[in-house]
Amino acid sequence: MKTYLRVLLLLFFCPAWSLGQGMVSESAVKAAFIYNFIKFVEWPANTLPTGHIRLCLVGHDDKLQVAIEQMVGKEAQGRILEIANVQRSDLPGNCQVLVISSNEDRVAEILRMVGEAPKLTISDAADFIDDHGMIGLNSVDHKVQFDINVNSARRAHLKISAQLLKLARRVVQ
Amino acid sequence: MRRLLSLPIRYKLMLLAGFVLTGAMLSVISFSIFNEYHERRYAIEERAGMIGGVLAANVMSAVLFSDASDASKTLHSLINVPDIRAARIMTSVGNTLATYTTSRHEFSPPDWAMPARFEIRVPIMSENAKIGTLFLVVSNASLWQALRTNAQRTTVLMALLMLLALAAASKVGRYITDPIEILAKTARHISSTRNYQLRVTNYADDELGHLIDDFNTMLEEIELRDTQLETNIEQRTVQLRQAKEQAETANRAKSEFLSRMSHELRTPLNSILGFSQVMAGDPALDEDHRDSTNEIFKAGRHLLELVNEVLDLAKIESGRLQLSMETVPLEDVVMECFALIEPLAIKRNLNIERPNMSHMAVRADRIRLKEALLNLISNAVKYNRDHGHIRLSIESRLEHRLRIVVSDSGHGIPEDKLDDIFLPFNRLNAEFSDIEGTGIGLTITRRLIETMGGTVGVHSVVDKGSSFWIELPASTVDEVTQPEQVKKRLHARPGLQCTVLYVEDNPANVKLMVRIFRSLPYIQLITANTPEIGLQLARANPPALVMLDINLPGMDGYELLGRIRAESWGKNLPAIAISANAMQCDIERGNSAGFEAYLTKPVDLNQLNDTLVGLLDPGSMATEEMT
Repeated sequence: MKTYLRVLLLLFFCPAWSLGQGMVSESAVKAAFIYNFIKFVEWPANTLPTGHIRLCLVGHDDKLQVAIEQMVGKEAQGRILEIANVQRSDLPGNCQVLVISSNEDRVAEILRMVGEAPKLTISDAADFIDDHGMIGLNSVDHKVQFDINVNSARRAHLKISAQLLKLARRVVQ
Repeated sequence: MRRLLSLPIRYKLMLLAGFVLTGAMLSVISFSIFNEYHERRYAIEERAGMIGGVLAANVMSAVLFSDASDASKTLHSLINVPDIRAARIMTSVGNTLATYTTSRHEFSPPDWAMPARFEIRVPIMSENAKIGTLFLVVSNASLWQALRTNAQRTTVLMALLMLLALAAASKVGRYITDPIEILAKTARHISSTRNYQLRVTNYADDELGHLIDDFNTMLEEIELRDTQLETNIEQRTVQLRQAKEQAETANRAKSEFLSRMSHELRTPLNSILGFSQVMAGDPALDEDHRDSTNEIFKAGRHLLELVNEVLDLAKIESGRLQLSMETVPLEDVVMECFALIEPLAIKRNLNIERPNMSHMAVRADRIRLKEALLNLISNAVKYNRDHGHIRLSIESRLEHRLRIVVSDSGHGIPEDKLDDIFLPFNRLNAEFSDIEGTGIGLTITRRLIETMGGTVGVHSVVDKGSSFWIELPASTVDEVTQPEQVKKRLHARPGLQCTVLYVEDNPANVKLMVRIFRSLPYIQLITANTPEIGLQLARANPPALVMLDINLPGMDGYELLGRIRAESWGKNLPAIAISANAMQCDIERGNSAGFEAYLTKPVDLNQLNDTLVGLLDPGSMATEEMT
């Protein structure tokens, strides 16, 4: 609960998500975005387990991992958020959200392995959506923004809410 | 309130209708405005709430991702909703994410007196958690505009309705007031003209109609009663006139009877009196016959007095008594009365007291006052005891009146009888005594004095005496007309026995003259009430002197004197005219006709005295002061 409040505080004290003030780290903002993305995505029927949504983190980004772990236990789509650290070998694995850190060098291979399984793919790697990733995070001048590849999501039978789409910097159909 | 009460009923009705309608109108308008305000307010709130809900859903993601530009863009879609003047999105921690305004002052505090705008808050929710609040400022302008229009329309409509209703009230009021007005007008007209034949036309069957019907019925009854009353009055008037005529006829018959009786009685009585005196004067008559003749004379005289007084009383009671009111000096009248009474008083050894009465006078008829006073004084003499006294006194009373009191030392009258003595023929048993009287002297006295505006009264103590008084309005004596104080009377000369004939038809004058001559025992007065009797008496026993009234029945004094002068015994007979005709031409005519003297009524005692003395005994005229 404490974590939740803190995240909310983080969210509302930085109206423009300007990180220049150095109050909140870029990783924390990214973790909050990732958590919020889950709310605007609709999975195919019966693909979500009851009770929880599992988020799998691929690659080694300790800062992001720490930030995401802050979100554990929060609710999204009426389910508790869980986190699991997975290796490339385990893919595609039993998780509904796949976050790939930017220091993972085989992004395209990972995405190929996931294929058209109903998993929301998020990464802060450059040109992620052009590699058929679904939501790509990037920060320009310490401001976190995101791009969406609707096509990739459609192929995985995921629907991304128009509310999220209108906030995206770039949308690939 | 008084002005209101005096308004015509029609205006009162209209006022009432106006008040009720205004009240109703105000209530309806207020209710309608109140209702409409709430309905419209609710509608605006509902619409704003719906818009707010949609907006909140739409900005939810922007709030989550703190995307101010997207939030602003979404808020700007409100530009198509003119009711919503401003909007603001606040995050849960109190930061403003985005604002939207149509003008600068939209967030000024609301005006509660005339709330032009209100605020609604819509929560922004995500996953059942409140992540922010959407504030909307909603304008009431359209609401107020609509209310104003509505109120104006309603007011105009209500005013029109009110005018219609007032017109209707006026019309209906006429149905009520018109009959009342007609009724009131008719009632006023009737009360001023007393014309009870008017009727009010009735055209309604309501309460007013019944009122008019009842009013008409009442009028009919009054008219009927009036007619009956008039008939009654006419009948009564006829009856009264008949009764009056009967009474007048009866009264005329009575008067005629009285005057005829008096004439019929007095004519033979005068003969009896005259001839009995003539007989008594015959020196050849012996003593017994002389006494009998005197008795006949006394009885006759009493009878004549009675007849005269009854006639007097009848005259007074029928109001035919004629009075000549003048200032009468008391001294004169009292002196004359006592001069007449003195011989009788002396005979009974009565002591007479009287005060100085000079300058005292009353307003009365001289002859009638003398008659009344003489009556009281002669009563005082008659009903006194021998060696008693008579006192006359004058008292000043209230209201400028004088009271002449005649007191005697007689037997007095018991108090319970005092009221009866003024009734006619009530002599308190004196009729059984030897005192002569008619029994109506006091009645006549009282009637005479009352007719002259005075009063008569009595005070009496048994065994001590009685005081009778006459009260009359006082008057002042004119010094110039006051007669001389010197009193004369015929010198009593034994041996001179003469007869004087007096022809006079008026019984009061005769009576007075008889009294006057009672104090002259050496002159025998023979009276006659008609010229014919006078002539007969004179032929039978020629008198030494005649006194003739001028206005005599059948033949006047001048003609009578002519007849007397034609007789052998009458050629040089002294004659005195005694008449009420006091004009200078009358006196001259009398002197030229052959009268030795002409005396005017009322006869002055001194003048008569002097004339008699001068004519009867020119050589031995003597004067002396009267005591």
